Amino acid sequence: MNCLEYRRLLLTDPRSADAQAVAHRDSCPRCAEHAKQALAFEQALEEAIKVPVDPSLAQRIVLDHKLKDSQRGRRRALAAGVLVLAGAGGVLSMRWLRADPIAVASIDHVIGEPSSFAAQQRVAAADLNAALSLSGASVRSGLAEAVTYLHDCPVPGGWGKHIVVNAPSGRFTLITMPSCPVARRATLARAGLFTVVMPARAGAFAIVADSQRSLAEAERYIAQTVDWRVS
Amino acid sequence: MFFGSQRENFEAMVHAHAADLYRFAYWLCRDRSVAEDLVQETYARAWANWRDVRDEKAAKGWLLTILHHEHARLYERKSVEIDERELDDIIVETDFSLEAGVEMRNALWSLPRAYREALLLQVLGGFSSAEIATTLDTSEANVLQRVSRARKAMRRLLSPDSGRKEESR
Repeated sequence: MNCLEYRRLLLTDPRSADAQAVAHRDSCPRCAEHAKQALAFEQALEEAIKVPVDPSLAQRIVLDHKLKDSQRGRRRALAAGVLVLAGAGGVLSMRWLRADPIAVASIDHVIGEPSSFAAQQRVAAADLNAALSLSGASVRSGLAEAVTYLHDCPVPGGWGKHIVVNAPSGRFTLITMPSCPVARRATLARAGLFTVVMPARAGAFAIVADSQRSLAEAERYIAQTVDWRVS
Repeated sequence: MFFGSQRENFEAMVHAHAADLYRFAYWLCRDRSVAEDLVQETYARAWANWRDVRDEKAAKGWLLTILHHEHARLYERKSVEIDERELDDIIVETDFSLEAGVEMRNALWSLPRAYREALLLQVLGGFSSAEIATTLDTSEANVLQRVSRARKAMRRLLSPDSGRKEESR
């Protein structure tokens, strides 16, 4: 390899580990200097290309994908259900049809963020109130002392709050989804977790607990401590 | 079970490549929200054909190809063809009061899209010229020409002895 060929290579593939190229560089001081400059340029270029990426991007894509997949699943289940009803005279389990996508996303969100349970965050009442006000709700009393985790999270419809509450009756998760309006209450049991999704003045909120009994107690606790202002 | 495995593999691919896909998209449009939309759409289309994926090692190249096509589809009606510009005519709009990386970014953005795409796939994707040629649906020789000319143009623009000084004389 001669100098001209080597310098062409520096333009087309400066990180090439070609043996002939390396040998030429080691034997030619001027080309070695060119290589040094080319690699410095390459490093600066790599840095420039690496624009900051929202750390939650991948998680949001996965959640969005699960939500859409769940909706597709519901449509498929509905279509299949209609066929079965027509053919078999209406004997059909409606369990699949009730797999509310927001409920699915809420449970999957909790499963996907196990670190939220390990947190022992101290949350000021004002911060909690500000967080819930985005859903048109306000804290009545006592809830902030029981919160151990409060975080902005990607949720169906956009961004919401992921809140872990360590209530006297047990620990549960409250997820607010201010940009995700729902028409009615929906419940779901999935992967060992139980959730209820309910309308809020702005969007919806979900409570996720590890048993049906805990969920009922959590729902009572939230009803006592938060005013959702839904008529 | 097979479906579950497919989904897990897909989600692993999202976590592995979303950042690089976003950066590639960003440098195609230089708009953060459009770039995110392009990445979302890329993965939606990828999932629709996920069962056809046999070689997950090649998935990154496949995803970048989808994104490239999505971007072309998005802008096919409104894009201005700038690839015919002479590289010598490029003017870098540089704010010298900002950090040095800004000059590099402006120089990169000032490249004609065809040159920028090839350079991004090489530097960001780590692809060979043959792989880039497949993604961009062109010849390997053309890819080598594009990356070579892109580097030459950027170095000229960023050099203290670049044409900018000559022009001011």
